[in-house]
Amino acid sequence: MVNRKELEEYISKVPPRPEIIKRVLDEVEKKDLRQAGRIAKEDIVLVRYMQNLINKPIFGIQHKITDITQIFTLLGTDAVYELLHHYLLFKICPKKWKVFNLTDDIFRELQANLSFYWRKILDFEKINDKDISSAITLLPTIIIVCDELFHNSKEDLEILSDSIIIDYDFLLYNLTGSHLYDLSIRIGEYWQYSKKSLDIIKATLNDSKCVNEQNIRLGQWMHLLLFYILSKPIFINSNLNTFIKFDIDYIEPIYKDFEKALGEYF
Amino acid sequence: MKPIIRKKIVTFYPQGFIDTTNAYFIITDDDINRLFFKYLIKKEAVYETLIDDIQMVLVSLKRVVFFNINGIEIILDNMTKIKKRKKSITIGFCDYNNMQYETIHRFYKKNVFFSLYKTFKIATLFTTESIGRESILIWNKDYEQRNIQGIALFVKHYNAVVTHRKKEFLEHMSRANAYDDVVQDTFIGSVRTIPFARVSGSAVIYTLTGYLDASIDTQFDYAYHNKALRTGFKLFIFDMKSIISMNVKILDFFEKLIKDINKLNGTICIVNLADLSSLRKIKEELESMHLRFFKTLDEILNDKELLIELGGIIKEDHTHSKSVTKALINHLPSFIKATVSTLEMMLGISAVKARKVKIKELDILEPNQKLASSIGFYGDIEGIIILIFPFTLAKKSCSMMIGEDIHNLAEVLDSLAEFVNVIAGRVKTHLTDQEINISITLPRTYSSIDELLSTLTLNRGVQVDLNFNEETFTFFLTK
Repeated sequence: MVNRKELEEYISKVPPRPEIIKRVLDEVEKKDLRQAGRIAKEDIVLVRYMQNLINKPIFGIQHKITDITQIFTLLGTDAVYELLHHYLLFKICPKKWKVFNLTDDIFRELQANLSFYWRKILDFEKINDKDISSAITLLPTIIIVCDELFHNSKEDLEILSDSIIIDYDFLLYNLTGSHLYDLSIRIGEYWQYSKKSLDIIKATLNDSKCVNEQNIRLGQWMHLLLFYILSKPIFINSNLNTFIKFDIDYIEPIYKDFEKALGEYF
Repeated sequence: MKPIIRKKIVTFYPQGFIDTTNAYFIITDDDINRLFFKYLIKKEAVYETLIDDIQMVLVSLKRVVFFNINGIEIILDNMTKIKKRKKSITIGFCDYNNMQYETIHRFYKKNVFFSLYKTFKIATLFTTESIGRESILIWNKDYEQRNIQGIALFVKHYNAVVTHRKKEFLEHMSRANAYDDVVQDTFIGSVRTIPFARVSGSAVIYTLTGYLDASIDTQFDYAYHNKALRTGFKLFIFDMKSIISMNVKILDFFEKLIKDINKLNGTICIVNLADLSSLRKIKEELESMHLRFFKTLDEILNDKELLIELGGIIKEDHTHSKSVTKALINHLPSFIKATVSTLEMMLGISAVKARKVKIKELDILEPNQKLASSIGFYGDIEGIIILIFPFTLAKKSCSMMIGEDIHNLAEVLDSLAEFVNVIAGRVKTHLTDQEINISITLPRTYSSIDELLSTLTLNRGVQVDLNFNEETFTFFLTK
């Protein structure tokens, strides 16, 4: 089973933000999406990732778009900023998922779903802030980290899961003193996510001791949204529905607005 | 979705939302097939039965924030597929809140054909025997429901107290610590004569209720019965205390059973049958088929000579049998591996052997502040596993197992039983891989070493002492 030393080793191996992402983000900050697109073209993996993600059915784009500059200009700065952060996570996904039945494509589907519904929630909350919208991109790190840290214990955990529900967050906390969310935040800090983004991720966990009311509310939304998405068949089949505990009491204050926030998409 | 199997209950734990789009994926056909195993009898006939003596299949709503009727309907359709293959199984839901309970009743109005248990723990009362005649308070506004629940718990040897008015129930509730559990907002969906089976020593006891007719043939759990026969049980007692009436079709049922039992020199006994004129003729017919009648169950269970004559021997004292056998020692690595790896996994620390492995009387270092648990097994090999934990080690490992913090001794003991069950389950898996089949008895826990030693009279056995961060854990295997 994982211990503190292995956890620190894993964190120390997380790669820094690629240079090209920094350059593209600089252009996005300057709102020069054409130049951002031109730079992005230098990285063929990034281009393919963007093409694949943006053409997911959930985004409802009727004609397949392949030109990266066109993708950038169509989406606008905030969305491009978000997608570039999704790409950062995609780069640290396990080559072969072991704990979860995931593939690169299903992982991208998860990212696309999170972004799409998070946007609906932020519209409902009348929030237009790129740091808040990009916070959602860091959330799937809990899945990546979980697979990476527990893949060597898979067989033992399989046997154990006949008798108990394995809450990987509880397990990790007891073995190492860190929550999965803590590791997300450490990775986020390393990748220079804004403090605002990191505070929302912190508030996703009920006992985060967060006092900022807006962050608590956004943390509750994010917690509920995660389980709304993990209830979809594709993610139930990926063993993601039960990997951490869904805290119903925590989301109770915002649940009544969930249907309204998602509207026709609920 | 992978279910959890505990205390003869299969429980699925979906989280989040249940609706038409995802309900099919909560219990799939593959999940259902994994609950059954098939076996061949006389080359041509293939039978199947549920694994691990499963009695219930439930979906927990503890972490479900939304469900609609279509989602529930799809789940019930899939659970019904299990019930079609194993009629005696109970299907339903558990771990709901008041609003969810009311909503399900509203969906199904008067046609709730499935069961509802307020918590998983309440459901376990209906699948496991009471150990210490725990007191259970029952309230349901439907009189039939509260009585059915009372009987179901009574046959499991609980001290079931059924209250018949809400006011009376609330009065009982206000008495501090008067009851071990309270059954309310619970609904038993399948109201019919289901043969409850239990084992006492080497006798299998079936409790029949209500009206006995041809339907017994479809309701009786033949797979369980055949398993008991194959395991070596020879005495089968039918407790008919709650039988109101029966018709001649019951003769066909017993004729079928006695054919197989006779081949093994076994016996069928009937106890507690009321002396009613309407039953006399059938009783005479059954006697002519060599079924034996006794007034009470205790008349058999308390008379050791009679028990031996009938084929059932109660083994209370382990010193009458040999100490560890060669067969047990041969499989010792399976036992040790399952125990150590489970503990190491739970605690995240490695075990260090503290003393040399020896065959000896149980000898505990620093017996104060230690808890114990035991579980028996029988089949191709038989014996008893005893695990002795320092309190802090037990608390930590149990907390890791149930995924929640544990605060007091009662909670530790409750979880410790589950823990030893997990270990025995893993031993069973190890042995099955070597084509050694065993069945596991109910686990027991002891709050002190004194309690352990005063409850069990133990033979010499194999003792393995292991240190986990300077705390000594003891594994003891005996027959």
